[in-house]
Amino acid sequence: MAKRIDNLVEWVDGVAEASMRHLAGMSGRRSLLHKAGKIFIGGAVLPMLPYDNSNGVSHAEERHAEGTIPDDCQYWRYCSLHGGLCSKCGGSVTQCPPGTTPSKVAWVGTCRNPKDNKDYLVSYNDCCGKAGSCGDECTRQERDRPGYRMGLASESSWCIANGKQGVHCTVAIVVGLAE
Amino acid sequence: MAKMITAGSWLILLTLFPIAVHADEAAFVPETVTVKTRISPGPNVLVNQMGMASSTLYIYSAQDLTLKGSVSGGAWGLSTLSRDGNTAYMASSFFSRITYGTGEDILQVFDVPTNTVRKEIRLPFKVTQYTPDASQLRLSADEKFIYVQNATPATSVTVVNLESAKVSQEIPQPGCYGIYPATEGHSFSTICTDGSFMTFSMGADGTTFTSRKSEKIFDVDNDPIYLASARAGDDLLFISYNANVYRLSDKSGVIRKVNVTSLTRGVSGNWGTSGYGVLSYNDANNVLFVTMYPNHHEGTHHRGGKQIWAYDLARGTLLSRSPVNDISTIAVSTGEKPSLYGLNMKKNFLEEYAVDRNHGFSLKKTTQHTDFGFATMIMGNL
Repeated sequence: MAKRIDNLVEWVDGVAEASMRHLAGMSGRRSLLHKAGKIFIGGAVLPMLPYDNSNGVSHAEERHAEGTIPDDCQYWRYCSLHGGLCSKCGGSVTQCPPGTTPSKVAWVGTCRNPKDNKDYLVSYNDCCGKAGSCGDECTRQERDRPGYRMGLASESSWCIANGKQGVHCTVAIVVGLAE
Repeated sequence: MAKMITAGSWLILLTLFPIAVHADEAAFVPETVTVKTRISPGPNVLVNQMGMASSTLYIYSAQDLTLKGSVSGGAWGLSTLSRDGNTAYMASSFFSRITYGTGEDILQVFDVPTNTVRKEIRLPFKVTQYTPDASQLRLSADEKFIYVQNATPATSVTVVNLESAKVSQEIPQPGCYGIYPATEGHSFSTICTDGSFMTFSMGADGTTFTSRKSEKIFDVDNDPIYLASARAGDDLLFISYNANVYRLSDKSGVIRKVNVTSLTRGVSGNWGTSGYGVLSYNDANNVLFVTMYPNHHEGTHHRGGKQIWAYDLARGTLLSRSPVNDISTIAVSTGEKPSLYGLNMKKNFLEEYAVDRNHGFSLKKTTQHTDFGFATMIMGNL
């Protein structure tokens, strides 16, 4: 019985999020999860950025002159962030620091880029396996929802699918354009 | 003459000296280390301070917030308290290398008066790692079972039989989260991703269940509710980010909406709810207390409240608005002359407020105690 429950829960891990995405997809502009299916296999998605839907002119990446993405908490891509940015822990905005593992699952924000006034889907992956915090925490939590809409729940550790390892910091990956 | 007195005094002192030394030796009792076996008597307020390596339940005097003792467990501790306040429960994770390595989830059963571990029960390694809320670890009405919220992130509830100290079953709750037990029997409800509730009812031995889904109760996108809840009589109270109070009934085995009340209707300043344990209800006076934040918008729902509102739900009247500093979680005591306790999330204070019944249940801070870290849960046999 326990094994059957385990199998069911594993199956649910894959399907429940899809179900939530479907529900989100039926709610106007908050169709964010509709296009974010791959977010929930986060590690595989990390290289897939940014999504380009602007005739070759993507503003999502928005790198500054020095070639770095700003890590000021008020920068647009951190609109739903809740945690410390990995850029202040030896990684970058899109890279986990050495010795950590990206969370296999993540919560998602829908953030508007003021440059093109478009809404982008941002995957906030925790980087797991180390203790310690670094830099000031950035808590904005726009469109954050409690655990009943788990894909948007920033109050959860997202290292839960990585053997519940310690949470070290968080990256913000632009993975798509919201409908 | 003076020399004679001095010499005489010395003679007397020398004569007495051996006696004085002997008297000192007789009076000296070496100290030994002992253990205070019980915390000081009286009602308690408990604060659950979750940590990523260890978690602690601090136990304060409900009268003056003196720290009386504590119990502790592992990472991401969730907790609850028996009705009589004598037994505390914590579900938490223990890791072989703290931040990596193998791990196990353990339910600890604590004896509150002696601050000791009475029992440990191993849980499936699935317990949610989430900012603590009362809805994640709950006792059944008869306290025979305890329900544990899991998230891997697929969600389920582990049911533990506390008499046999064994897991009875795991109930899948896909797309739902939070545990809200019925006031009698062995059933609980949970909030689902489409704004409905699911109610699970267990068989007498806790090994089987049936479920019933409610109609849509709230709009998850436009009026999401907090996990925090309160009981008002037999009904359940929830509140949304926009300060709409949802009064629900679980009496029929499925959640039904009784009514929805806006706390902010006619109030300027765009106030909204803010914090974690954002509401608490005093049944004796039918007054709901809520932490509120001005100019609220997306992203302000977990900030510390700037006011605590007292609201008469029966009359639909806003009774008072008391200014506070960054209070994110509240708990009001029972009885006609209650006290209110709050957590200041910026300074990590536990604060106590006197409630003035003659002035709209307004609040005046009477004392505070430094808490020991970020916390979101207050409990007590208040």
